[in-house]
Amino acid sequence: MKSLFYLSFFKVKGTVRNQFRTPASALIAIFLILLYGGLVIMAFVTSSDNPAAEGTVDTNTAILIGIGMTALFAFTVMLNKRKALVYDTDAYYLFAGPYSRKQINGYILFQSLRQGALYGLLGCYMIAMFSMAGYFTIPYFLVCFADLTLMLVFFLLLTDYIYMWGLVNEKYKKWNYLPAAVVVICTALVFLWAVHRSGYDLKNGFLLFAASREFYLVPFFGWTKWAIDGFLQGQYLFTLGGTLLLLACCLIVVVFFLRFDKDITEQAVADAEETSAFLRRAKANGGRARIEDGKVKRVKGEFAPGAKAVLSKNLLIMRKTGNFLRKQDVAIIVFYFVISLIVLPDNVFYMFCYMMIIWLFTLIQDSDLLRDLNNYQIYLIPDSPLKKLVYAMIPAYLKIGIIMSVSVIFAGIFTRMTPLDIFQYLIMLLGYSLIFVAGTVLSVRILRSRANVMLESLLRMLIIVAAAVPSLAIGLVIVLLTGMYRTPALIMGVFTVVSLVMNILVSLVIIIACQGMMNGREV
Amino acid sequence: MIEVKNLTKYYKGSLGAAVKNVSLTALPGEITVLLGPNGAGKSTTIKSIVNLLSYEGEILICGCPNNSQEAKKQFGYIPEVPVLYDLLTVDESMEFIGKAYRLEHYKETGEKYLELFQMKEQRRKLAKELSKGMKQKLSMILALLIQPKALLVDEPMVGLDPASIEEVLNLLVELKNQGTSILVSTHIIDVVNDIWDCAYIMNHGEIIRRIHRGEEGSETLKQIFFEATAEEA
Repeated sequence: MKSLFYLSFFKVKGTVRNQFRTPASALIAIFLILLYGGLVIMAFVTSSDNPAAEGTVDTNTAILIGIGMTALFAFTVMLNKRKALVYDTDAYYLFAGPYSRKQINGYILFQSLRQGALYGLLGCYMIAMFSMAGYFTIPYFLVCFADLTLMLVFFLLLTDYIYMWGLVNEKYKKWNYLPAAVVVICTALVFLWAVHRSGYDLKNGFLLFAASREFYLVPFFGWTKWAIDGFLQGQYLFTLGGTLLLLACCLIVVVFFLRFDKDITEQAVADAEETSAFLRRAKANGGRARIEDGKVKRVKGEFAPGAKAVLSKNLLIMRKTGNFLRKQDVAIIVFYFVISLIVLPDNVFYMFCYMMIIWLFTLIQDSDLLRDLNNYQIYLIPDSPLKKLVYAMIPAYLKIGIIMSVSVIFAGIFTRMTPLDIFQYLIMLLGYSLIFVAGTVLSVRILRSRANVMLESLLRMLIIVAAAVPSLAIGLVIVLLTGMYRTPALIMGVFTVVSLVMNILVSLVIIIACQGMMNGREV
Repeated sequence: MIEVKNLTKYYKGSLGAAVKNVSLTALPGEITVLLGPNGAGKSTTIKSIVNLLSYEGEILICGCPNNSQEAKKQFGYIPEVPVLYDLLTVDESMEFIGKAYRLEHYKETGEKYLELFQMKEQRRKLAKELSKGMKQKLSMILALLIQPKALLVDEPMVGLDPASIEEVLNLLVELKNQGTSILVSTHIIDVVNDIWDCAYIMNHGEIIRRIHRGEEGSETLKQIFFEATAEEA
């Protein structure tokens, strides 16, 4: 058993060492720790003494966002069809090594505890961010952390336990849906009740739902909120009650988990191999493995001559996968819209448009462009490097542009914005999308590999900031020189056009500067 | 013809050069082999020749700089690990290369190699559905589709069954007889024992021996290789 603890310890040590293996990655790691840590410290420092104080958003809403984030993670793990207890390297050691079932189960349990604590911290981070300038003290953080971790550990262990029974007999796999269904049905019932009480006003219904005591009846998530609310209201018995309920559930599942003794080695190792291979492919392809592993339609396509064949190929692959928009993108966009609805109910559209810029950061890491950059064939095609680069970029931009347009137009119509407003923001965002795609190319060109996604994101941010500065400066000069500041309605129009033009110009400069990489030797 | 003059390659973060001052020539109508133990710098040399790595030195393919479009039209590259577009079928992969290189007779050439590698039944399969050996064969077909005047092959027999290895060796000889310059990197000497015309032995990033067929006397290529690498050690 001691060797398993050493294994866990060395894995953590290896992960930390890997972050600090080069000066650049060490700097990025330190920067990110300071950035995120600094924000949390700021939430502590600016915390009000009064738990009833309201910050950027209502405290109830902040808690619900934290719980919602962790619930999303728990459900994703639970309903994911691709499961494994451990990675393949661990699986070989665990199942082939001199360990008893109990020791193996103990090791997996420890992993779940670690994972639960990590995502519990992430949930607390969300609560801290949405409690900025409101109430967020260290004891409050500890209560949130303990309850969110317990909730997650329960779901993670339950998922593994059901998975193990699923290996014994296929029919048990369906058990996964049961806890998720119970939680979803209870939450929906409480939400409908709140909407009914608010006279079918969705916004007020949501606020009532966030603050209602009925939510405490929702298993696990409701109990977590009960414990946290209890702490805020000084009702420590509630905190104890909610926490004990979660702890009891965890203990029950731990006992069952440790006592599991069926022989599942063969399938568990096979699943570990498959899942690990999938994750390696996803890592190498910027998350594309899921799409490539999915169903492929048998469609035919024509290839244009020369570099344009790259575009034909990518369009054909897009049609084959039919996976134009990933489910998680829809979920994220809807999530951003809901967040905008909650945080700035009077300016939902504007908030949503800025949230879409954040979405770009998550999407670009997964673009079709990267598939081409990972294949040597594109570098050997005897055609102009500029053409090859442009044709490789077009599908990525098309995809982003269409999703962006549909989302912004839908949000604009839903929030009853004027067509001019929708058009202005759409144009601005399409300009930013172009610079994001160009930024990806530049970051690959500078880094010469896609090994550090974090560094790549930071570089893209810098590129966008660098591109935004001249647009802002030129926009200001135009507004001041032409006296447009007297008519504020025109200012947005000027900035939209200037930022679009600047983004296109900067993107063109980047593309031309990076064309050499399509000869291969610069990547 | 493939001409490499004073090729030196440093990898970022590593202290020494992966390849040091390497010069070699692969003549038309000859099979030139690049031999060496693991980590000798063979793959680095091949990747530099096809311009997938940055390097110092000069590399010409059929008299043109290796990064020029003229050179790219004339060489084929078969990597050690096949890198294919998983969601394209065998036919589509061939069509993609045929169109991208603006080849006029790629369909006929493709048919010939599909027949040779017994892959006709797999032509509608996606690349991701092919076995490891079949992927390697497809990778070869794609490189040969352009009817290259220079062919660079990195560890060609990895993943192939004995019958396929025989087919590939026969094919290399056939291409050589047609006047193609062939540069093969391998660490399995037995595989190229019967087909080599010129051999460069590499160790620690340097060429330590060059030998032409006929100069080996009573020694086998394997013996020469072990002597050279042992002296170096």
